[in-house]
This record gives sequence, structure tokens and C-alpha cells, in this order.
Amino acid sequence: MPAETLNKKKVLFVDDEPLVLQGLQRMLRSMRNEWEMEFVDGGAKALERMKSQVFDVVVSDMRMPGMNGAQLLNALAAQYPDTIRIVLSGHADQELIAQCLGSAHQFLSKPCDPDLLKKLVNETCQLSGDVASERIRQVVGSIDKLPSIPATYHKLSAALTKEETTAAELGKIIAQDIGMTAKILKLVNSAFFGLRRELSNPTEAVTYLGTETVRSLVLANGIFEESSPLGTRAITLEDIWAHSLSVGQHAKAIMRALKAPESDQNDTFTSGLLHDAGTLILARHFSKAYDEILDLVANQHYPNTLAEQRVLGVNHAEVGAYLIGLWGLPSVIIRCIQFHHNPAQSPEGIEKPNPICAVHLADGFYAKNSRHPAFAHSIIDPTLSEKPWLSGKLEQLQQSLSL
Amino acid sequence: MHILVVEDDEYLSEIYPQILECLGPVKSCLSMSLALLAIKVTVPEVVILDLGLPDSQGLDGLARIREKAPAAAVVITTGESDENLAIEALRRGAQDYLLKGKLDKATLLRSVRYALERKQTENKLRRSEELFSVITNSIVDLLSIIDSTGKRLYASPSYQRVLGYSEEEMAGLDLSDLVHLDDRSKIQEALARLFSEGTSEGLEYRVRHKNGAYLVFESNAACIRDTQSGVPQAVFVARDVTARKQAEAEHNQMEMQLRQAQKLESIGQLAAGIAHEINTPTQYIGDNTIFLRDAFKALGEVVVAHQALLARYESGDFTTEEISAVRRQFDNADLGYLLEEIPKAIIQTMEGVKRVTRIVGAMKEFSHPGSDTKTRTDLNRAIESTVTVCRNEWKYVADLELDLAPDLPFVLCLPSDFNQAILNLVINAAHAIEDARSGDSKTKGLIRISTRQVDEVVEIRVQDTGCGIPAGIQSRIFDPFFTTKVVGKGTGQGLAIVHSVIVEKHKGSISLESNVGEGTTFVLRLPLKEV
Repeated sequence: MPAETLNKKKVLFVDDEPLVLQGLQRMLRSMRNEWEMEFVDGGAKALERMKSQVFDVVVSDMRMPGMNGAQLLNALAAQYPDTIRIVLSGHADQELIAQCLGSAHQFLSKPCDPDLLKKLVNETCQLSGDVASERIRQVVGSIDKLPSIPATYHKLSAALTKEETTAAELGKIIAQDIGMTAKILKLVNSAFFGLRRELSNPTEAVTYLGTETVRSLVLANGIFEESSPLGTRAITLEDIWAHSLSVGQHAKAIMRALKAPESDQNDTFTSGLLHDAGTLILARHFSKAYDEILDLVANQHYPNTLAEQRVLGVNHAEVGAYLIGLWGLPSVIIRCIQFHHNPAQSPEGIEKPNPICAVHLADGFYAKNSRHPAFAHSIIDPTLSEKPWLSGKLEQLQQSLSL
Repeated sequence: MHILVVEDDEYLSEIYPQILECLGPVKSCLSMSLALLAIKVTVPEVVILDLGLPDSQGLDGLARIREKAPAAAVVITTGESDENLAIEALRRGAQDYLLKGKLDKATLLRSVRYALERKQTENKLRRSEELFSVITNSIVDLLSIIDSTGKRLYASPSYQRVLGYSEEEMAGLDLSDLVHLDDRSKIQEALARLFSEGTSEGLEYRVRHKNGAYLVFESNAACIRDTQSGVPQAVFVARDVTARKQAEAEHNQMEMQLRQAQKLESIGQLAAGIAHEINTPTQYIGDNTIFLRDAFKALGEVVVAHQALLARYESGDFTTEEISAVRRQFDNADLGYLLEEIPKAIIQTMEGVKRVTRIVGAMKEFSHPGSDTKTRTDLNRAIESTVTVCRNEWKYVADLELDLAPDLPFVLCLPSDFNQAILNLVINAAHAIEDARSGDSKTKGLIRISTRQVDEVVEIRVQDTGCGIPAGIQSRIFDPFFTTKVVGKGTGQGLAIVHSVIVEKHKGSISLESNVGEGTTFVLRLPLKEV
């Protein structure tokens, strides 16, 4: 029994309406062997309960008398940053949403599809489980913005101050930046905006939200952050950005060359742009350790993931996938980040061309022309070139991209 | 008083000053040219003028004196042969004439004194006329004088400018023809009252401009009497207020639009709140239904297994393993939980459906479509519906108590307007409580609504434990646009609408009792009998 209890995910539900809590409790009865669930009727009680038992996931209503959901989530983010924070609300109050844009990892709206709730909790718990270090889970759990390239940030601010700027123009700027792309997709994929399908293209996201909403989110709510220097001497945000943009473009070109469906090509660009989000997080939040990691790579010829594992106990793919997973971006993007060094282990596999393989190949191609220790050592999985869809085409593919 | 004597008879020119010096300094001149020079030095008040001078003969002399000293009184001295000329001189502005042959000291003195007095009166009159003419020529307002038959005796030149006609065109026009047909009787009545009672009130009417457009005039009238005939005349002072009227109309229009906007805004806000009120029961109805589905499946499997076992038992062909298998299934089915929870899930599902139904019903009653006419309305029920649809606006900050008189008579009213008024008061109460509570989010406030019949009036009290309204602004809270909320948070129309609904549309009254820090009570009174 104790072993089983240890593995169970601890989930706390908070809602001021007892009938909602009882309904959830019954509906989720079938999860009782996987989850340990508790139900409390207010924010204050939730915080009290957390003192004696830290939950892996908190699912909270927004509008409650006394402490409301935004206040609860902000308190949780400060005290228990590695607890996954999900909003489940029947409200579409923009102001209230804006209050917890930073502290909520995901938004679900009432009435919610029970399978969606189960999937969300399980998937984020799974990704969290992959990040073995509690310290890193805490840091990632408290990240609400990824840094943006200052030049891009200024370009966007300038575009937003002009009345005549179109959604397409804004989307184009946002699509150039890792931090902006990740954040805008987090927003647009949250259930609050009522989207029925997942969006992985920032331009579509801006079009969907509308330029006015984006303007107020950026200028009034400050959802993006202009980057200050990363704090590591080994790598700059511009290095990561140049690499990510190149991988994004080439991964998309590879998909096109392999005649993959149009929609997959779009996913692939975003996946490529975000594939090293983990590197960005490590360089930003663990700068000293990252210096050490790149030192191991450059001087002792450690593969990057292994060096990261050795110094921090996790690698950048796991960290990136965890954050992007917490933010609820489409799962194809998460898996591209998670498996970009080992596509054969992804659920999609390597039997057919897919975005994960494309990002993996583009990353490998980039490595051949790079001297930067963070990017020069990505090796293309040799079993990939034996697959019928790629067999004999690798050289040709690389040449067609003029790499 | 300066006196100038113009006389070429040397004897007389010495005698006159001796007689007249008791009235003031006298200057004597023997010719017109000398006289005109003397006038340049000192303008005299009286001139004694001989019409037969060496350098001036007859009326020419008078004209030249009057030209240089228009304010001076002129007394003519003349020989008897010139009497006709002297009379003509009077017509041309001289005050008197004296025949030289019959002149004595007393006559001269008296004549000069009278001449001076007459001239002074004349001067005053002329000044007053000048003033009148300056005023009437330059005023923006329109001045006219009309006799009791309606005939225009005078119209100030401003009429030409305002109405777009030239002086000649104006002279040929009857002003009353320019007045809008619908307004003529109004003017007739006012004139009749003015002439009969001598009083008049401000009047507003439309007058046609030359370009065909109607201007709005606002006028006051006074009754005067002709000095000679004593016939009464009406003096009208009118003003073109078209621009002001337009601005007023635009203002009213804007106020209307803002009220409409406030209504829409409150409907939008309500819609979001109602969505939440419906989403909550929908969530647990869905959850319970899924549970019931899963529970039925689990129970069904147990029942089917038992049914099979029963069949085997009846046929006498069964094993103990089969029994233990069914027993295991039975034990694993979580039956205790299911049997306890299924009835609750059903009851709560029904409760959820009831809640949704109630909200939808209240919405329908609240909006009360298509009721532009007053209908007998159960105010208690209207209040219940209104607080149900806006529950989401107050439930997080306050409890709400209803104390509705069960025997309250129906009131003839516009239900959707009444609901709007109650809604605005409840939302204001919730905001006031939120303001008062800021910092302390634990305790809830209280909103209490009561209804009573007091004599021929229904009294509705909406009471809150909010921040209260400072005495200094209580008189302004019903003004349109008045708001204490931050910019962009309110249109300032909420209480103005309440006022318009209760006072203007229903001839009721509103009063309030408020203490800062304790709360506010709005008291609405609606008459039971139509006024």
C-alpha cells in the first residue's frame, strides 16, 4: 500500500459550490487508484491543507467568496511553485483571467469534458515526473514568461502602437521569437478563449485573439518580457534564437520536401522554434551550472544531454517539454521538444516522416555547421537514415536546404 | 451758464449783456465770423442771434450757429418785418423769437431762461433717442413693438440679420406670417392676455428664416401705453435660441443613447454572470450523469453475473469457483459507495436542472419583452426574478434578504423598466459593499429588499451595508453622468435611470437615508392609483 500511495498523484479540488465538488468526486471515482483526491470549498482551506500535505496538482474555481481563485493561485505559485495549477471556472471574466495569467498553468472552463480533465492532469504529471530534480520543477513551475529578444520586443511594441497594424503583421513578429510564441500559444490554447481545436501557429493565434486583445495583453498585462542578459558567459539569447529559428525553418522545409501535410508543416516550424526552450530555461535560471555544462561538453566531449544530466540531474529536452506541457501547448510541440534528440523513443516513432523527425534532422544538420558547444554535438540517429522514407535521401535533403 | 450775443447794433450789443449777466458770463460779438470764433473758444449754452448781420443774413446764421453749437439754445431777435422768417426759424430749431421793438428786460430774461430749459429737455430727449437707437441697432436680441391689433410699429434692425431679409424686404413683411402655423395661436393668446391683464410669461415659438428653415425664438413681452393716445402697445424682446435648442436636443439624444448603452452594458454583464450561474449546475449535472453511467455499468455487470449464476444454480450445475468469482466481482464493484451515492447523484442532478430552469425563467421575466404599456405587475415576483438574474453580481460580496409583503397589491407599471431600476439599485448596493469591504474579504455584507403598502403607496426599500453616500454628493447622485466610479467603470446613468423610471415614468418618488461607513437605504414609492 505505501508504495502505491507514493506513486499516486495528489490532486486537490477547490470550489465554493459543494455540489460541484461532490459531482467531481463521483465523476472521478474511477480515478481513485491513480489519484489521491481531496475536495475543499475555499481558497483559505486549500492553503491550510497544503501545509500538511503538498499536492501535485491543484484544480481551482476562479470566483469564490473570501479568497478568490486568482489569489489562491498566486499564493500557491509563491509557496509551492512545483504544484501544477489549473483553473476550472465557468467565468469568462477577462479581468479575472488577466489576474492569473502568470500564476495559472492551464485554464479549463465549466462545464468541462471529464476526459480532458483526466488527460490534462495525467499528462502534466507525467512530464513533471520526467524532471527528476525538485529544485528544477520548482523553478520551471514558477516561470510565467520566457525572455524575448529585445529587438523583436521593440519591433512588436512599435507595431502595437500603430492603429493600422494587422493581425498578420503582429503574428509574423511573434513567430520570430521563442518567448512570445510560447506565451501566445499558451493563451490561445487555454479553454477560456473557447477554442475548439489546438493552435500551433502564432499568426493564427493573433488572428483568433484579435489585435485589440493582443495589444492590451502586451501593453497592459505585460505578457511578454524583454530579455536582460542571460547571466551565463557560455551562451547568449541570440545564439539560442539563431539556432532555434534555423531549426524551425529547416524542419518545415524538410517536411515540405517530404511532402508532409500542410498543417504538419506549420506545427513543425513552431516545434523547431521551441525545441530548445529547455536550453533557454537552463541558461537563464541555472547560469552557473550551464557554464559548467558547456565546459564539460567543450573540454571533456560529453554529449550535451549527458552533461546536463550530470550537473543538474535533468536534460534540456525534459525541462523544455515540462514547461511547454505545463503551459498546455499542443502535444505535438511538446513531443518535438521532448524527443528531439531521440525520436525513435517517441510515441510517433520514426517509421514515417513526422515533425519530431524533422526537428531532429534540422538540429543535426545545424550541428554540422556549428562550432557552438551547445549545438555542435547533435548527432542524427543512424537508424533514421535506414528508414525507407529517408533512405538515400539524406545527402540530397541537406543539399536542397543548402546546408 | 455761458451766453453768446450776436448783434451788430452797437447799442443793443452792450445792453443785452448788462441785462443777462445775472444769468452768467456773457460774450458779445458784432458779426457772425466773430461769433463762430468765440464758439470755438467757449461753447455757449444760449445764443441770442440777430438774423440781419453784416456777414450773415436770415436763416443761414441760425444754421451756422447750430452747426457749431448744436446743444445751445438759440433765441432769435428780429425786426417786425421779419416775423415770418422768425417763425420759420422756430421750425428749424430756434427756441424763441423776440421782436426788437417790443423787447424789455423782463421779456428777454424770461425768454432766455425758458429757451435754456426747453433746450435742456430737448437735449435729454435727443440723448435718450440716440441711446435707444444705438441699443436697438447693435443688440443681438430682437426688439419689436406691436399694437393691440397686431400691427408692427417697430422692429429692431437685428430682425434683418437674424431672419436674412434686407431692410426694404423687412418693411414689407408681416412678422406674424413668418411664425410657424402651429405656434400662432400661442402668440395670439399671449398677446390677448398681455393687453387684458398686462402680464406675460416667457414664450417660445418658431419663425421662418428667409432660407425656409425655422428658427426657435424665445421672447418676453411688456405692455406700454402710447404717450398721446394712451393706446396699449406690446414691446417684445425676443432671442434666437435655435443653437441652444439644438445643443439641448443633442444633449438629450446623448443621454438617451448613454442610457441605452448602460442598459446594454448591464445586460452584457448580466449575460456573463448568468452564463456562470448556468455553467455551475451544468458542471455537476454532467459529472453526476457520467458517474451514473459508470455506476449503472458496474451494477449491470454485477447483476448480469448474478443472473447467470442464478440460472446455473437453478439448473443445479455450478461450481464453488463460480460462486467465489461472482463474490469477488461483487466485492470489487464498490457497491457500498454506489448505493450510497447514486440516490444523491440523482437528487443533485435534479436540483441542478431545477436551478437552470429557475434562472432561465427569471431571465424571461426580467427582460419582459414587448411590454411598452403599463400592466398590473406583481412587484414581489419582479424583484425575485431580478435578484435571481443578477445573483452572480452580489453573491460573492453579500447575502441578500427579501422581506416582501405577501399581500402586496399589484401595481400598474412598466415591468421591464421597474426591473431595470431594481437591478441598478442592487448592483450599486453590491458595489458599495465591495468598496466598504476592500481589505477585509472574509465577511459578507447584506442587501435587504422589502416591500410594503403604506396607504395608497407601495414602498420598496433597498438597503445595503455598504460604504454609504457622503451628504455632500447626495443631491447629485441622480444626475445623469454623475459617477464616483473610476473612469471607464460606469456611465453615471444607473441612478439617473432609476430616477427617470420611478419619478418620471411612474410618478413615484425616491428618497434615501445614508450614513458613510454604515450603508444606504433607497426608498422607492409608487402610487397605487394612477396620477
